[in-house]
Amino acid sequence: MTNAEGTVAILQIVTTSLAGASFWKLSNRFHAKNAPPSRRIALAIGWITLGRIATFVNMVVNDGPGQPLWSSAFVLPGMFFSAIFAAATVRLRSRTMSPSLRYSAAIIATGVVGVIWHTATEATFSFDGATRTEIAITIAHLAIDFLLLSSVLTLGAFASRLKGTPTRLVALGVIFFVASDMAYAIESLLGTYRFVSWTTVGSVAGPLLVAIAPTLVTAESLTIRPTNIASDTWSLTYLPLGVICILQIFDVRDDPQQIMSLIIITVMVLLLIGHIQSYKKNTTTLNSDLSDSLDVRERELLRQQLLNDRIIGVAADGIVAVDTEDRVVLCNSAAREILSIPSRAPTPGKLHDLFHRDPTCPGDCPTLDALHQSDRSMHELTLDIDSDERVIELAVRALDGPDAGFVLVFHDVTDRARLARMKDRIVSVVSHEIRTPLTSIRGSLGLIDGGLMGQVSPEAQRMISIAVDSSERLMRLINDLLDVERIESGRRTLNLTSTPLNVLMSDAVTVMQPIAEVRSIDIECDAPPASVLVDRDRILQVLTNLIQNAIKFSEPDSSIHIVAEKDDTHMTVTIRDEGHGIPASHIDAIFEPFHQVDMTDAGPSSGSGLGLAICKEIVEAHGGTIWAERGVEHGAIFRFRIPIRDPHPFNSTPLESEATKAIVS
Amino acid sequence: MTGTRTILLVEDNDDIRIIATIALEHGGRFDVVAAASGEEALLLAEQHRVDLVLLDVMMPGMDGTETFAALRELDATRDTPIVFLTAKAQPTEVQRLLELGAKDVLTKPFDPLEIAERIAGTLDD
Repeated sequence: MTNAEGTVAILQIVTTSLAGASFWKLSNRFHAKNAPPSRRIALAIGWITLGRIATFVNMVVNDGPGQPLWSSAFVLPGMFFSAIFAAATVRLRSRTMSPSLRYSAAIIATGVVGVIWHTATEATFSFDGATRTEIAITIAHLAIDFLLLSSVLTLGAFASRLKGTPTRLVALGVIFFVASDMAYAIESLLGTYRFVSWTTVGSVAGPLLVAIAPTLVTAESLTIRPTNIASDTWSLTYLPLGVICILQIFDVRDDPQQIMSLIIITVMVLLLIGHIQSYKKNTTTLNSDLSDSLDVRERELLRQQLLNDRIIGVAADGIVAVDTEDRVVLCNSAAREILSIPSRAPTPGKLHDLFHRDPTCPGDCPTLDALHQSDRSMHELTLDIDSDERVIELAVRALDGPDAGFVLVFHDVTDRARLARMKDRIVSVVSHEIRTPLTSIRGSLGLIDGGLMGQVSPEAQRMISIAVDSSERLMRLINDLLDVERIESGRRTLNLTSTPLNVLMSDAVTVMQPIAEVRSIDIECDAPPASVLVDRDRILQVLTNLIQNAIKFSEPDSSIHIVAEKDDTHMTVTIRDEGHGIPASHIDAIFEPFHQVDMTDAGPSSGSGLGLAICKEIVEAHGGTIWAERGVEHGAIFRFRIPIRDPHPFNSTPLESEATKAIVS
Repeated sequence: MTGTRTILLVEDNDDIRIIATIALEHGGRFDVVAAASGEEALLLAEQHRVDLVLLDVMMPGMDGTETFAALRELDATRDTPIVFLTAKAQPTEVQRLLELGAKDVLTKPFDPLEIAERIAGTLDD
């Protein structure tokens, strides 16, 4: 082994190792989605390095390069290298090649194959001194080199997409390598191979160029410009064609006729290519225009999306979106804050786990039911977050479209809920404290009034009656004020439960029956067992208020008729009495607070004038309407209609803006 | 109807207890055994044969609901009709007490004459 041979072999190992290491380092530096597959390229180069080392060992063992090298350990790793490298670049092609780029690549490929065929393959076939196996291996070797060249073309085409990325440098390095490799294959076959010759330059310089390229890559240069079509034309397109023509002319240099015909063919081919090129340019311009306008729209969409994301991000309300499988697809920062998710912790993937972070909970719990409860209003939900009670006000809305899931919007009302609870306690205590002495007053007066305390003068009797009436009126006023207070505090949130209509009606009748019996009034009720989603307590309040009203204005021994119905969209309840009816002038004003129908016989049982106003509030909070009518012959008819709610968010009917307004206001 | 029926009145407020007692005993209609607390009511229920219990809901110590449950545990008052007397007039509260098993619910303030009528009605049902 000569010094020159040793130096070249070591240089080959060093440069290929450098190239491999360089790409490996690149792969560790960047993980951009559209970046060239550096790691695979590094692996491919690793194989060629193995081949180089094998060559070096072979030379040390045999004290020289030896002839021929068919069985050399260099060949197989070399093939591996080519295959992996080519496969890696195929991915690049599918990723970024526009039609015009493919066109350029096809022209270049035709040219390159022509040149190679002319210089390498023809020579191989026309050589007699080699065995069939040797020729077959050479052909395979060359075929793989063609594959490698197709990678070069891809890299070249790709280069215009990655401005500033030294893809072309890699392509050039690979060309050097392929050139020296082909020379090696052919010279080995012809028996003219020398380890140190002009081909050595390629085998050393090629890997060196490949090694330099990755060091020039920056993060910015890896960004693919999707619409940079104007630069897709590759200046090298005509180079291989030109080379073929020159080679052909050189071949037939002795025959002027053939030269003439070749020139004519060349001109015709160039004209044809010119036509194709102008066609290509047109389509490119068209594509470019199209993609420019697409780009503008894409950018506009992107901008809009970014804006939406930002709006959702800074919204003061917690916003969580889930798909139909209850998987969380969006959770803004307010939601994380309200639900006390630590800033570094990931957002739980399932809806249940987001709101109910109890690892022992199987998942199908009342909290989840409340999270699925879609309705027109917002409802309150008490959460246990890290052993801390938190109350949120929540609205659940189904998204449009099939399988779109639903959105939960909520805010923290813990403080408000605490205040409300405190107020409830105070109201309850005060109510009791007022009622107790009032009960004593009413009771004492009742005993005197009833003659149980002995006879009193007629004047005193009159005064006692006035006091009895006034104490009753005072009591009703307190009751109604408490009701108004309850409605006020509960207006924002309805506690919706599914209740059968007939149960609702009979509950109301049961409560009022004793009062009706005292006046010998019969209550008839007709209601279907169909269920409705309402705030049971509040609707019960409406019903008892209306029934109480009807009792108040009914003659003894008359009847009150209650009819409840449910159709596809509404539930309707009608309460009809056989009393004097409502004067026409009062029909509309009757639901206003403190409105009293001035009727002499209403006398002692007239109320505070708040009962019907409360009914109106409750019905409207449900998105419904209430009105009064005059009976056909006599009596009054009160009727209210409430839209049917669907308990499941995926089937919910569109929101009625009016209803929503009534609740929010 | 054989003899005068006995009502066990449970009410913590002295005034109301006196008024209700007078109203119920008027004309010898009922005998009233009055208790000022749930605990006292339980003792009296065992000492007297009681036909009906009139029970206040809001009381210090054992409240009406607890007393109700305790009376239901006693052999003497297991099946005795119980009528609640409550200061909370909301339909839901009345509903809750009826669901508990009360025969009737009277709301405060009451007309003392009506109370005797209502209780007579309940007993005659």
